Amino acid sequence: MTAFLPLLIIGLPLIAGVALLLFAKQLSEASGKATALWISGTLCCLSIWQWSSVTQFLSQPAASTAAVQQAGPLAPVPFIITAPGGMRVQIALGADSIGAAMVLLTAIIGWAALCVATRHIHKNFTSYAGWMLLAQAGLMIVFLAMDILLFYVGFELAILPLLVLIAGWGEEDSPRVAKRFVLFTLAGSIPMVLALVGIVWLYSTPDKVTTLFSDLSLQAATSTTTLTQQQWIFALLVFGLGIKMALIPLHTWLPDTYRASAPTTAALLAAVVLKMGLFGFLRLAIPMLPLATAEYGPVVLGSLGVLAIVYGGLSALAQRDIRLLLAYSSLSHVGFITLGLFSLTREGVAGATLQMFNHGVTTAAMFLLAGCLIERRGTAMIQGIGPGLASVYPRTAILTIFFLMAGAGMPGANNFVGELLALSGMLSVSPALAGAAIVGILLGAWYSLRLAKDLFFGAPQKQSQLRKHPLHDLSVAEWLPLTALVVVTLLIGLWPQSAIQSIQVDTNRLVQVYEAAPTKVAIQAHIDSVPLTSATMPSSPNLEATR
Amino acid sequence: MLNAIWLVPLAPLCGSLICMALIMAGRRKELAHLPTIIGMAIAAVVAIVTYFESKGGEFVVSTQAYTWLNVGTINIPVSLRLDGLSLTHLNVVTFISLMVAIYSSGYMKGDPGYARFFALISAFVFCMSMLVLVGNLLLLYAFWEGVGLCSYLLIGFWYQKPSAAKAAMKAFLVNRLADCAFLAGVITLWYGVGLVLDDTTNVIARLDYDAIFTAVPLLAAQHPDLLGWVGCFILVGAIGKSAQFPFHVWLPDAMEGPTPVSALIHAATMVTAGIYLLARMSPLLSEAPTALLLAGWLGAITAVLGGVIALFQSDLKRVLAYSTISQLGYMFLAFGAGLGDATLSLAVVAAMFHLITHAFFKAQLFLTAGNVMHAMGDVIDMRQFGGLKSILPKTHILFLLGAIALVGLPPLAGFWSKESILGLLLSQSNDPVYGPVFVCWFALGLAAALLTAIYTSKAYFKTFHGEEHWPAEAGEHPHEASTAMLAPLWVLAIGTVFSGIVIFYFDTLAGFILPMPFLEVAHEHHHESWLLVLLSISIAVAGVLIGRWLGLRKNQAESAKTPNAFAIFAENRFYLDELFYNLLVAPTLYLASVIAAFDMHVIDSMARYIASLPETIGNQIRLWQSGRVSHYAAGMVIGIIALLTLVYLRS
Repeated sequence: MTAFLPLLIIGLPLIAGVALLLFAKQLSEASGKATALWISGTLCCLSIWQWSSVTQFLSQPAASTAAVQQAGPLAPVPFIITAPGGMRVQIALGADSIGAAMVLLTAIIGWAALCVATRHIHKNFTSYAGWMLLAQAGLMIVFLAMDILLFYVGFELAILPLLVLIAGWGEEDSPRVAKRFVLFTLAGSIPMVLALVGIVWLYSTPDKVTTLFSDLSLQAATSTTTLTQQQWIFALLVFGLGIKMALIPLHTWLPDTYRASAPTTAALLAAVVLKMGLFGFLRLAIPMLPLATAEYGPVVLGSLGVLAIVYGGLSALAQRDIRLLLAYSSLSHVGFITLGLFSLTREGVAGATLQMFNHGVTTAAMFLLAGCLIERRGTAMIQGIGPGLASVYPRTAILTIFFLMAGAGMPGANNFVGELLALSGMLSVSPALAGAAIVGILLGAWYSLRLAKDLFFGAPQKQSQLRKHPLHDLSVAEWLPLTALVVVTLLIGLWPQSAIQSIQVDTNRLVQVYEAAPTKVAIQAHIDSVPLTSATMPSSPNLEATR
Repeated sequence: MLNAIWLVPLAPLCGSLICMALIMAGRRKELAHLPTIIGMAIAAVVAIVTYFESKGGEFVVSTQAYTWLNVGTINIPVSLRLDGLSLTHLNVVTFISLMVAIYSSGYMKGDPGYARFFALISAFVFCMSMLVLVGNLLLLYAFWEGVGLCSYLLIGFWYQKPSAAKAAMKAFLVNRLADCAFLAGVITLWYGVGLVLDDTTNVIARLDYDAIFTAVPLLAAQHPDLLGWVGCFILVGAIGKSAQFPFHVWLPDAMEGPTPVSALIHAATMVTAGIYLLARMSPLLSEAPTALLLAGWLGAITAVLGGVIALFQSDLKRVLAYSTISQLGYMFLAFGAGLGDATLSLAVVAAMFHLITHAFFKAQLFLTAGNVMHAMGDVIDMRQFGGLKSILPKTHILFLLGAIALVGLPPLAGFWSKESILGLLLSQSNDPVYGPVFVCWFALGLAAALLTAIYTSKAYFKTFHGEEHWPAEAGEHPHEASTAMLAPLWVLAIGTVFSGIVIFYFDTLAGFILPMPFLEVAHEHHHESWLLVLLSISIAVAGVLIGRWLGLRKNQAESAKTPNAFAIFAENRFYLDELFYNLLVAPTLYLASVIAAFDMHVIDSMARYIASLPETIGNQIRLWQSGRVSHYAAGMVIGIIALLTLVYLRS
């Protein structure tokens, strides 16, 4: 049964999304809302189910020793397409803990955003929900794909509904911004395609085309490719994925996009879409281009990560629009994830993976809260929303300060764990980079506290000024999903081991090859010294079947 | 018994959660003090019982709850570690908290945020007792941030006041600045311990105190530089939380919070967390002399600086705040004395001694100041009231006791602990290496003692003696505080009077703290020099007399006299706040605006230009004109076709 979970998780939002779009006219608003919420709620349940079965599988000792995750309830089920001419290409769906965590994030954020959107999206809610579900379907494909072809399809497919969401339900200038978003994405797609083709080319033999991630990773660990071959592919990948994850200076699409789209859309964008690039590095670069990653990862991308932390943090400090502030703060936080990921240590990569989830939760919550405030106050300018709202909207104030503190790395909330691990990982690689990154912790607290002060502290505004907009505090549709996010935040913060236990099984597998020694020569030596035996590589039924 | 120690943090936590539930339910908020007081009473009783059960001798016990994190080589179990040091500090924290909580039930009566106040105070006690009890440096950091958060929320308790909002933010950020260094120290230490301990199986919790102290001698031998850095980083964390120069700027502003908060958090407990951290890390610091030297100098400077500024403040709470800064400086000074030959253990005892007595008398002074404030209709400017002796007779006596203890007149508490610090410095003055430094610190310590006596007696005489007058806010007949506010003060007064002499006479502290493992213990106890005692007492008396003269001067005479440059300088806190702002805050904000503008205009327009290229080309080709979506879909299809073709060709 669990083997079909990935298919179900992709299929449900895909079919439901299309159906909602087709019947948008026929459905009444209330039934549209109910349907959308039920479907995304079901999706959450399915994702939790998938996460728990992955966790259960990974808690077996055997699961952690395999060189490539192969067996298990959610192992990739290869599906073979035979092209005319006899060429056979494999595609596969499956979930490891990294993918399952991201699926869970996508489902939870999608549900929370839709809940809040029922109060904030005033026109064509049914269509909005339909496109949201389609976007989630695309993202699910990315996170569950176990081969290059599906991965790419998902990567591109997710953008199309997002484009509609940005352009259709946003600020006045959102069509222009959406167009720019797409141009950037297109610009990233070209190097992305080339890189993917390059990877396949690198590890395929004339008689067999390799597209499955598991095969490619094994090939990468055993084949005799050189750094020169890998580095060009790596460079293309950095460009292609870098646009998605807003690497400086490829980030300029990000602030504007987050500002112009509806805050509920921005929540999905910042929480999940921003992680696609990072996820791509985890899936492609780290296992498949080990030489190039070891050579350029810590130095180039690590530095870019630190740059993002400081640059994003400082820029956030100067923003007057709450959405721009959150956008730049996302930039800064993603810097921490990059830092951890490219430390290529066990602590760093596990922490970065967890942080992808953590940041998704807190940043989405902040965008949703920003949406609530904008909806009530009719402006997105911090000076216009605040000050003194604590006595007017106490629930909003408590939740916002909670998530701001979580974002600022308060221990006990989730972000602290990820940032701590990222910093620790980087410290053993480059103390200078880790030291520079610590500045980000100060900046994070600075802009967060200032936002809290400008919005909630101080003398409350005169009643007449407030009365222009609804006076009531958060409604159930708003505080319920946010409270759910509070629970997730605290759960991971107070007991991170519960989440990272299974994540690290998979991330340790990724890091193994780098651990021998982080230099090119040593990695080569390590690879040579580990002959491909049945001990390190379990006999793979999938591999056999395709031959 | 051992597992009962969990009750100490958990009882206040439950109290806090119940208060939060009351807030959310929106009912019975006026009963919020009950769960808080009950929780703290449980904590205090358990702590004191544990203290007497574990009487004396060497004991270290730890109890583990669950594994917080275990990734790669980072292994962090949530465990409590009970030894003489933690138990001593724990008793101070729980006892003072209980008294302050009882006091607050009277002081905060009628405040709209009554329940919120008690929820936060309880949460603070939870964090603070965990900070003291945890057996792992990273968890100490975690609760260190936790008490900082509670402090932030309590300083900003009256959030409508813009000054409170600003002060809260300032306190948090100045602390964060120092905490960045602390965190760097923690992570560096994690790395360092990994370098020297054989840890192939990754099971050692590297940041557990035992692991750290085992690694310290090895680190000192193999990586002394790294250890030096760690020591300095940790010191910076400590001076941030304990408001030492130059990080002291946040503490006076923190007086914007309710007075019980000032007493509990910003005088008796949280600000002493820095001292506790240094005491806890003393085996490490004994191998990092630079950090100790720095601690001594900063402590000495702060002790004098705080005293001078306190002299020129007219706000009673601010006088006490600067006094706290100054007294904390004394404790740091004590650590400086640890530079001598195997004297660090004595230094720890002296610092902890002063920490305990200070907690009693400073909490008492703040709370009596709260009584004055309460009676004066929330006016705390000493220029606006005076001669309150007969209006607030009980408060007057209580304040007087606290003041005598602070001034350092025997037999009250402050005298003994201050003597032990100064005596330790003096006894080390012929140290071959640091002798001159110790003499210098001793002189600064005496100067600070004189200043303490002056500002304390000035504040006392100004408030309680002289012509009787009070501000309009106090109404017609100012009245003495209620029983809820006086009873805990009498209890505290017992500590203020007797804690010093009892601890000194029975030498309890040394017997209790000294058998700390991993720290070399000096066996020769220094002896009180009668000369020093006489010198101290005469300095204190002289200071009191000067202070009396200053305090009883007529207000008119004071204002008529044109203040000299130094007075203006000191009144404005030596412009250190401004310096901080202009050197650190303003440039950063300027840089931020420059970067934001750069991002908005330069980078973005570059990107716009590049992004417009394909469109221009597209316009010329007039091929992809059908609209955005199909334009985009076409790109995707082309991509997939390209991928398939290349793969196909390859095969």
